[in-house]
Amino acid sequence: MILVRNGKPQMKCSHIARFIVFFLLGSFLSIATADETYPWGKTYELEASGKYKQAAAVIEPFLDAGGDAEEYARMRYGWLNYLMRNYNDSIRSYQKAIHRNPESLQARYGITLPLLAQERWKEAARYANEVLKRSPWDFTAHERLLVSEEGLKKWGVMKKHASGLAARYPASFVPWVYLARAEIWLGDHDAAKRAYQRVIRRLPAHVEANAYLNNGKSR
Amino acid sequence: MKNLKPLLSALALTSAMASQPLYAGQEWDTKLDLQGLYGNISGSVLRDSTWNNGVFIRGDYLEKGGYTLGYNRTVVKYKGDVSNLSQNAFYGSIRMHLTPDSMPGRLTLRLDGHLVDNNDPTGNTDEGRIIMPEVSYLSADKNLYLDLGYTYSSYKGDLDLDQWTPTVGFGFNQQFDWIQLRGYFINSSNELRTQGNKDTAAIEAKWFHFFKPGAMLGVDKMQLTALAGDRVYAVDPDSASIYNLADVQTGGLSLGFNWKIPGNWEILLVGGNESYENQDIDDKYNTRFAYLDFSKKW
Repeated sequence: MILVRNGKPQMKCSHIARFIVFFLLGSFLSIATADETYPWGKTYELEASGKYKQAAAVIEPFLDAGGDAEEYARMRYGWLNYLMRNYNDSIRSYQKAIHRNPESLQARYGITLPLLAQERWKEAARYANEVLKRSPWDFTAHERLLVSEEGLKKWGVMKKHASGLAARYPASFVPWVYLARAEIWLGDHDAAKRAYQRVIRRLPAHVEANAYLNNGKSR
Repeated sequence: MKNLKPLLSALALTSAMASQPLYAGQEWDTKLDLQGLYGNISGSVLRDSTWNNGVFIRGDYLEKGGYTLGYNRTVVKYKGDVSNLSQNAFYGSIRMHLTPDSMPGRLTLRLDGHLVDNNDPTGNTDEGRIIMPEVSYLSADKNLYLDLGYTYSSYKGDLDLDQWTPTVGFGFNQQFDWIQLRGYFINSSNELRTQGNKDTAAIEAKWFHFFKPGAMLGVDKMQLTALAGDRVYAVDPDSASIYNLADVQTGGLSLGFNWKIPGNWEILLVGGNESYENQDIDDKYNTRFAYLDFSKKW
């Protein structure tokens, strides 16, 4: 702290000490803030350039940090390991995120991805259903559940489910795709065509729907 | 089959109580099987017929693992005044599925155990104690299956058998068809009790065809099974059947059809012929059999 007396700047010892303390504290805080912003921005940059392993390494120090940082780091780590096809590491990371925050819907969305990649349909369905218990018409959870039902070849269940979802999300092409697939497996090709026509109406370039309608072939 | 009546009533009640989930996702899948087989034996100087029935319950927890418990009762009827041979067999199996990232597919570790008790007056087939560890692999695209099973069997007195069953299966035609080949390589510790056979070898081939909905007669699946070569005291890993009461099996051919019935019921009907030979007395015979399995999933 600089004092001005009689037109001359003067400093007392106590003021000098305070100045040093505040200077050091300010410097420390600015470093801490930089440290906190550093990994998150860096990890997105690395992910965007396809360097998933390096992106994961940047956030590894936060995996046991506790609080929000740990929860978010766990989810990022789960996602990056999913991208690296380290599905078991991804699953473990999302499980820890759910353990930290049992109400998390996003961690449950996340864990369905590596489970579906490993064709663990029932386990993925379990987490999707946990989301639906909290949020009954959550689109992402229903979409993941439809993938599970397709993997389990539960065509009757999938048909009913896709119809229900189409009624709630009439502008989305996704329920109609699953409805069409169910109809094909159930042997009703006219119903499959009608469903694919609705897909085309919502997404004219849809490859699967066009292939079926033009060639009568499923995927 | 009359013994199955109370069980069928219980099953019907269970079916009525079980509600169909709107979406997939239950954690436990349970399957109950009730099965019966009658075999008419022709050409044998000793044997007349055989029948058996059994009950199996199977539980699978998500894609993590599961268990199977079973009981099977077999009776062999002999010609003349010879008493029937009756056998009780108890079965237990646990399995665990693994999905390592290092391989595209699923590994399954399985451990089976059988306990056999019968009234065989010779004691040759009694007090069976069987253990079978098996490791299997199913590729991610479900088009390749490999397994290797080892079975150690011991019977009353001085008979021990080692059985190896390498298996390969592959799917084709968009998985509407599946072919499985399994070798049975069995080594006996006591040739005198295995009709002079120290080592036997057989190969079993199975073809499954899955029908699309609306197939003729509503059939869901067809299975054709053929066996060539010799095998004695074999243990079938698929059906959990023990062939300890039979003589040396020298061949077999069967055809089966499976129907799915609303309410998660299934019926499997198999008919076939198996060839056997008692090599001690040169008695060759055939067993023509019909097998029926009712199953319920919930």
